[in-house]
Amino acid sequence: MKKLTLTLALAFAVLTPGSQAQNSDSLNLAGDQADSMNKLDDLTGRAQKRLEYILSNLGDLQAGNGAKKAYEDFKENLEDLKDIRSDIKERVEKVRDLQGARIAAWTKEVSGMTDKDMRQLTNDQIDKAKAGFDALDKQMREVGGDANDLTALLEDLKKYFDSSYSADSVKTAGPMIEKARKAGRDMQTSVDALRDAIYKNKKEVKGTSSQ
Amino acid sequence: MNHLRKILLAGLLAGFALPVSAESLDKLIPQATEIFGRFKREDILNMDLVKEAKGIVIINITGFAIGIGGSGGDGILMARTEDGGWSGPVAISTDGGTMGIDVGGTDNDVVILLMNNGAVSRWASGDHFGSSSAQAVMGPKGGAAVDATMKNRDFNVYIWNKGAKLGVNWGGFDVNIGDEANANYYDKPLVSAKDILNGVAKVPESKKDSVDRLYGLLK
Repeated sequence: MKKLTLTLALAFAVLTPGSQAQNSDSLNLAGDQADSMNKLDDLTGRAQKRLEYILSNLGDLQAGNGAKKAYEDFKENLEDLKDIRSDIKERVEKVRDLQGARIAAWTKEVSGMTDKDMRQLTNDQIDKAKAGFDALDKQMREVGGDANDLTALLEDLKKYFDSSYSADSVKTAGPMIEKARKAGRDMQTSVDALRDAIYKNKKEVKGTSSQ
Repeated sequence: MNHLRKILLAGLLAGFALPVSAESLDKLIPQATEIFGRFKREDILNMDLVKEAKGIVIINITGFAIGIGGSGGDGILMARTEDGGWSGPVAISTDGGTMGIDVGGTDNDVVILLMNNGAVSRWASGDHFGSSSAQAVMGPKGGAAVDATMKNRDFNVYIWNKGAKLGVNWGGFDVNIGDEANANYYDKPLVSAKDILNGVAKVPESKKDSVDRLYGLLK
């Protein structure tokens, strides 16, 4: 009976994924990085929602639907968007730091391997992980640059309305509002593509962890 | 004085009969887009089955208590149009029952594919769904082969709760149409869910940015 209990306990320990211990720095860091990428995705989703609210506000402003309320909501949503963007920037830095630390730990672990083929195999994996993240990072920088431009444009609109808000000034700013709406729509498309890329990269990162 | 009392009483009674006030569609559409986007990105949803659906419900359900039920949710309902696209969104809410969730959770994203026009009509008329009144099972995941059974059942249900995919426990809930939210969004005081789903009421030009993104994801 004791033997059966021991066998069952061992089988359970082996079969239950949650029981697997993280057994290297790089694996631990991969888990942390995947978590951090989840948080980045959540923040990006919040920013997209806020941008959608802003696009609705701009549409209402143009159409004259409760324009005064739309203007007040626009200002509030813009402030919220800026706050979320600031959180996103911090989170992106955190993800970059974790990627750097993970690759450094992984490289150190490889240097301790004695078998040449095994070392080569792992080095190839590291190169692939680096290339994958570099591509994602490039995309994040591009989207970040476009987001800076869009935020500046929205800020300019806010300043314009702060100095003169009336039905006429809204009409005069029509082309600028339209430009902001177009930039906002393009931003949503770029961010949707970025979130797809974050999700794919996160899966690769998770694949190198024992989570 | 009696006259005043009568007016107050009439006002109170009218208050009880007011249409259910849901969250505004300006908020519900981005919420639905976020939910659907995640389901699509993470292959939770089967997009082949989405193409077969005659309607779709995208809803966030909160306040579920284990063993009691009593969940409430806000979301949107859309119907397939004759040209193969999607109608404008209808604001809906649900209350009561244990829609969708087998175990725990207080914040659940739910996508329901309505596989026939009858199922769409039931949602559009603000029906009560009893526990045995509908065939509803978890839909197949992304990439899975779609068969006739999946296409022919009333509903395919997808649930996301902090990453866990849970079983379906369906029934005992009411669907309410957000008349006020719909009237505000479409700028038509008397717009009905059927008008929106049939395409009689169109999404106003000023509101298209948000809904176009959702249409794009539904392709």
